Amino acid sequence: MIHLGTQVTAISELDDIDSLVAVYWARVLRFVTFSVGDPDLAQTITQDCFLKAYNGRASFRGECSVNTWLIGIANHLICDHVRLKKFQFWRKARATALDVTEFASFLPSNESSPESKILARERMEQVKAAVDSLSVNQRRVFLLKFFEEMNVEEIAAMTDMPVNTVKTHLHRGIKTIRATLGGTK
Amino acid sequence: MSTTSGSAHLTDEQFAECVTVAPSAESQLHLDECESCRRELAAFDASLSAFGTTAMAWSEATPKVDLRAAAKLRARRTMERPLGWALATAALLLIAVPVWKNHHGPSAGSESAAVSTPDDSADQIAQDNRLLQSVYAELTPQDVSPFKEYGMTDRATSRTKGRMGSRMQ
Repeated sequence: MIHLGTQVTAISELDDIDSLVAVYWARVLRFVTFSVGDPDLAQTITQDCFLKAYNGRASFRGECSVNTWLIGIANHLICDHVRLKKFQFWRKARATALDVTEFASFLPSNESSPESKILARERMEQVKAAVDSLSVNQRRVFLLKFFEEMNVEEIAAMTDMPVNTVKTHLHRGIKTIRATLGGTK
Repeated sequence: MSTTSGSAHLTDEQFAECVTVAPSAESQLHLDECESCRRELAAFDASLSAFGTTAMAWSEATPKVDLRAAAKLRARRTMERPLGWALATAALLLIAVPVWKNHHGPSAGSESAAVSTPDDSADQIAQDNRLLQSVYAELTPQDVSPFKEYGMTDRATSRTKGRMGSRMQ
């Protein structure tokens, strides 16, 4: 059950577009970027997502967190773009694909030795390459699980997929990444 | 896999189960015994966690869009679009109407030219009159009436004339 106080807070939070962007922009952009694999397109989708959310803030009923609501809107926008032929073209062209070296430079330097840092960077690049190799649906499900920490039922509700389909996508994604990272099997 | 044998490792299904939900009793038993699988599972979690953290750091470093400006720009575009269409339609009409008139107009124009007389000169009018007179002369019967030729009175004609004359009076 959602408390009225929580709902009121969320709705007033939605009224301030600047705070909305300040709090949630990075998280939504991360999900969209790694779902579509194109940072420029991701910026456009994220912008659309926030404008849509702001314009439709009256329809937010507080049944989920604002973040989940925004990710849901972003997810629908990604689906719309995936259906467009334009997206297929850009996906093939990969003109503005995220540069893995640039991306890897954002890896937090928690490692003690230079060797550990290099190893961590290599593994991170491997994960990114493996995520990129997944299909759009596999990737969306995978990111919702590991970025947004949703469970299978929540992912199924958000993506309008049956629970078993979500599980299949998730298992395939994990299998691909496990193989890329050199599993013991 | 055959975790019970102790020689094999977690299958993909079991591995996915460990990552997404929780290890089953059988998988947990294997993990308790197999350090290799434990290491793999830990490395997998660490790699994904590092990936998520790096992606978030990248995303936070990406400049945020000024949504207010974007919304204003979008609204202006929405306002400008119908105006643009109206202007384009007006321009199209300006081009299309004269073309259409030129294409369909000549017959009507020539008719009006044939009917109109203000531009006719006095010479032209005189020439036309002469032509009309000659046509009239051609049409007027030149033959002498047989009654006149033989000095007879055309009773029917005189009777008609007499009636017409009395009426006129």
